Amino acid sequence: MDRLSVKTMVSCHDKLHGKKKRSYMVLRWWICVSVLCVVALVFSYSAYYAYAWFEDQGFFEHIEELSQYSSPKHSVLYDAHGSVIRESYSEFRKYVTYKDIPQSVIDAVISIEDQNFFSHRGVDFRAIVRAAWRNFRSGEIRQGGSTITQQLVRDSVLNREKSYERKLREVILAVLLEKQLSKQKILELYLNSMFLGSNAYGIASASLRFFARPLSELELHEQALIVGLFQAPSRYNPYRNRRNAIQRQRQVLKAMYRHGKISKQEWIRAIRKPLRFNSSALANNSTEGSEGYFLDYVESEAKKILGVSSLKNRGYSIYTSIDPRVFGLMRQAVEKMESKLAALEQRNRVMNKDLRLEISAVVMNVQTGLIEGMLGGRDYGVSNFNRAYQALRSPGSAFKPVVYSYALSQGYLWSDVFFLSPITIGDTYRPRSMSSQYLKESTLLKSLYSSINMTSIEVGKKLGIFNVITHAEKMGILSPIKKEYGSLIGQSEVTVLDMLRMYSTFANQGKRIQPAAILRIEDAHGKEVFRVADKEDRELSVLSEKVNYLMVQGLRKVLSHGTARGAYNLSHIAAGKTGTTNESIDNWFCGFTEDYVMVVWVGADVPQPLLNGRNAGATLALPIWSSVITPLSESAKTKAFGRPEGVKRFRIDPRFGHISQTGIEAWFLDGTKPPQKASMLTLIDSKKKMIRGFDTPSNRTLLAP
Amino acid sequence: MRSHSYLKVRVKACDIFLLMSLLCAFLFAGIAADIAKGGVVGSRNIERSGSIKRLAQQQLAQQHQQQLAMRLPKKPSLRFVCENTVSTLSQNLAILSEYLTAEDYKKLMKSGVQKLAYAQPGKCASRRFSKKLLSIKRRFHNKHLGKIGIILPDSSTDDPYSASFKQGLMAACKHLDCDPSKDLVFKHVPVGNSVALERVLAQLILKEKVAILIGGFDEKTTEYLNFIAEVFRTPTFLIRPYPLTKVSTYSFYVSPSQELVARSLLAAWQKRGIKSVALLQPHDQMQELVSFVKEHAKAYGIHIATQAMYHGSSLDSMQDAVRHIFELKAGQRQQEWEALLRIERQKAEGLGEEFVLKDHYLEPKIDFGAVLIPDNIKIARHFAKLFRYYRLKQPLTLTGTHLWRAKELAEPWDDMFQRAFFVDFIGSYLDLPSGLFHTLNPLGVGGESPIKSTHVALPTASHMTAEGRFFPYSSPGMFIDPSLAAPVDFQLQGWRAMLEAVRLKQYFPFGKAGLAERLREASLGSEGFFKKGPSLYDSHHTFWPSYVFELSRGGAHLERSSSSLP
Repeated sequence: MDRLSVKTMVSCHDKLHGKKKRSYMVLRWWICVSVLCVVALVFSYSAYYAYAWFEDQGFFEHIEELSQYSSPKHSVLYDAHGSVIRESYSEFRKYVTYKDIPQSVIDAVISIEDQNFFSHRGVDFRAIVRAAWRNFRSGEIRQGGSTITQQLVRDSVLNREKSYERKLREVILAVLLEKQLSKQKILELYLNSMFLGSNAYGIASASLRFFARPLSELELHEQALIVGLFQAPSRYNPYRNRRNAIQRQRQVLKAMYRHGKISKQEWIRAIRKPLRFNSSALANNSTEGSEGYFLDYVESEAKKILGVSSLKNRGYSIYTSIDPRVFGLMRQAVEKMESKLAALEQRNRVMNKDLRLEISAVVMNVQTGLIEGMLGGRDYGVSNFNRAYQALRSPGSAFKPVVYSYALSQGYLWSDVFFLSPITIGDTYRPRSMSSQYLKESTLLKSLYSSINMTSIEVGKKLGIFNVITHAEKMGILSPIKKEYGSLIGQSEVTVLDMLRMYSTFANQGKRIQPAAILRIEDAHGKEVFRVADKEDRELSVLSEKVNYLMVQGLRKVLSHGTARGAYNLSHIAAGKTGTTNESIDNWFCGFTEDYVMVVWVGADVPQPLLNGRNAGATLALPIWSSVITPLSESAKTKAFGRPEGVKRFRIDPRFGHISQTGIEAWFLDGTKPPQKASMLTLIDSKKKMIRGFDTPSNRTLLAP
Repeated sequence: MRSHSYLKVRVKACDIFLLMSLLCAFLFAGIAADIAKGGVVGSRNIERSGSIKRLAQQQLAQQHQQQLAMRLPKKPSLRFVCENTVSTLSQNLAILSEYLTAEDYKKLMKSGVQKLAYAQPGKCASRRFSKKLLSIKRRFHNKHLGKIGIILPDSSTDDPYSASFKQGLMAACKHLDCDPSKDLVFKHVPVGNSVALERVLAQLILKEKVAILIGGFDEKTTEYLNFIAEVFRTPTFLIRPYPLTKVSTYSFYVSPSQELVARSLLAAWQKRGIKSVALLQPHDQMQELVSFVKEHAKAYGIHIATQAMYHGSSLDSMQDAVRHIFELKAGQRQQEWEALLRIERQKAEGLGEEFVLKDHYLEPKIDFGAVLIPDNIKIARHFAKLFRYYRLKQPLTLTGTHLWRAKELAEPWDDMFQRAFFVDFIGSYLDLPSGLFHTLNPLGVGGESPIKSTHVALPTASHMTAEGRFFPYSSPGMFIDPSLAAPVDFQLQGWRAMLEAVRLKQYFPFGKAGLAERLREASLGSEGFFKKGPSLYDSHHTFWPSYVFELSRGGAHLERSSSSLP
């Protein structure tokens, strides 16, 4: 050691001795600081750890969610007059703000669920301790002791698992939530988000679900019942267990009384008041009845338009074209047929004891191209399968106008004559016809209104089956058509909507309409996201106006002279075609005026022959059509079909096609006309005159003129 | 003796009663006999109406007793004729006076017939007597004044085509320089009234002394005319071709022969190389045509493969007929059918598929090249469809007769009629004899004529269609308004009958029997519509040209048939 160091040591020693005291203090300071630092570190670390853990567990996200909670909005469907006809949702929710919640409801909730709500900071430790002690003593978890805040976070972001871990989370989240939101907001969220049974979320929804009245209109005893649902919505659901519900209601009222929220008289009065339950909507649907078919269709169309898989809770406003009046007429028409259908079912249950006949119908306004009524079945409550656009059925003779319209466009005339005899197509297809039709002759016109199969097949064969099918597709048959001759007489299956499109062509002067059921769609913010195109943009020209007029006049004959004579009174303004498949399995009537097109189908879901005789299209489907179209035409003051330039009318013999003063009216394009004179077939048919003069008269007597 | 008186009285009363009874019995027997003879006692009408008939019947009856198999001897023995003449004349001379003109009766009496008539039949052993009697008879029978008697139904309500026939007659008469007022005698008889018919015939033959008779719109009239023709040796043209048990030597059919149709069909098949045909026959009709086809087929080298009958009003019957000729009827190819089913069942089982009976069928067995459908176009077209229904795939020549000729045969077109053909007696309607169409309109038959014929002279050979000409269906000569087809045919027949009758005028110095001979020997020149050829056939039919129309889409190929009759 050197001198310096000794000196230093001495001085240090001196200093140290003197400083010893000072150093001790410094040390103590440093220790304190260190301890503080350590504590701070530990605290920080703990806080950091806690923060990280909270973040890892998503607590902050949950809090954020809860802070920004807004009740999912229903998508709403409106009819043509703007009335709500359906709300689409997965959960029935009606949001009500804090200020709109009656004070008695708040009092009730606080009294029964969390009496210290406004004083605690999210967790009521006393309640927890109390519950823990009770659970410890019982050996199982019996009591909760959860605050409203805890219940909110539990139901919103956690599960209902009864474990300490879940409880810890719940506590933490509740505390955090209390930091984030005000008491009123928390209570508001609680009262609007809790499940209260029967798919109702929130007290406003429960009010509608159980009492069919808004919350503001409920009385104390009713409010108490709803508040009682918060603890156990299923156990206290009045629809499931009325007794439990009333018992709980009384508990709520008692709690209110004990906490001084109501007087004794009010309490007693409330207990004594009877409860009358009512519901304004089925679960998951605010409408019932057969509008459901149309609304299902609209929803499916809307989903396609919007590119979503579900409309529920998205807050869309969908304005549809359904006309309640038209729909009402359709319902009435179906109801009128109920007894007839029931009798028919009874008669046919020999073969199938579960037979149930169904009806499907669609009405479209020709002027707008909008569907104003749709029935997909007899009773939506029994079956919500929509036969209007989901069922594929054979149209039978109702398909034949495709063949005839194409024939007319290719130069055929209504006066063209056909010889009716059995035919074989290919080697094995032998279409049947009524035997009384054989060995006779018929014009193209008579073949249409008398629904003669042979002519359709013969004409279709000559025109080319593929050409006819292409024409059918242009006319709106979008379902795939079998490339077989049987398709010419309607043996290929189509939907009711296919037929609607097809007949819309005739009603709309040769232009096929793409029918629409949705007028416009607005999103949850009121922004228009879809508007239906104008009718002109949804049209496709298929037939010339003149040819179409010929066809329309021919179809009028179906009502005046043919298989739909039951609607003869409408033949001056309407036209259409019956369709009956073999053994009346499918029964159709497709008809139209200048203002409306309506297609009706009757049959069983599982194809079933009916013992109903022939032409059931006229006896089953036609009356429904007529019941709807008649009043519609009267109110619309429907006129006869407008005649274009370039067509002429003649009277022709329906069998032989020549001009005849006593014949049937038929229309021809300018430049064409029926034969002037009676044909040889007329002579042969009369059996009164000789065909040629070189033979003896067959009856060996002189002939009378 | 009181009892004797009483007895006498009683006996007398009994006698009187008995005598009265006998007289009554005779009286009633006589009445009954008169009634059995055909009339009310005392009725002169019955006597009169039966007289001419009885006269003729008796003459024939006696002749027929001597003949074999209903054949008239061409030359009965002199004695036979004499005896027959004597027996009938003597019985009916008085009655004849009612029919003969006074002058004729006087002439007849002057000729000495009275004396001869009341002679005994035994006098006919004398050759001189017989010859004299026969010469009187011949003069009596053969005498004519060169007129043409035409018997038509009373009015058009009886037969709407009689008017057309008359139009044809008159048109021909006008064209052939005959004077209707002098040359023609028209008589109208209500149909079914035999009394009136007999009276008319008696007037025509005995009073008007017509050389030729034309008539027969109904079967009974035709039969009777044929009978009278034979008895009075009067050349008679029968309008409608009702079949007769025995056609008189003096009777001729105006209308064309079914045998001609048959031969034309056979010739056409032969020309097309068809060796075998099937025949479809409407029930109870066309027997004659079908018989002729079968009779002459071999001569043309054609085999009748099969035949079936059908009812034109029954689809089942028609289907049955088609199945028969296609050999598809149950039992016809049973073994083949069973073998087919066996194979198909095995196939289905092998593939694990369901065997559906209705998907299997026998193909039609067709070993003939043509099928005859001698019926109207409606039946023909329905048969065509039935052939297709039964899966006829090979070419088959459908064949028909003039009954097919209508535009509805080809419109709408059916490919089954490609190369089908039918036979008719009219080629182009534009080539009808002069004036026929002009006569149609005034009587309002069928309305406006589609053909504006301006022919004023007989069409010459150059007007006629050359063989092989193609007729579009829209051509005005191809088809005619259906309501005009039968009237035009009758007009043509009227024309034809008049053609024959007027041609005979050149032979009028001959007696009636001689006229018939001349008719058979004569022939037609190139006289417009009716062409060149024999006037009459051995079958007693007048000559008609025949044409074959071979069909294709858009038109028909027309050719003149070369067939003829002996």
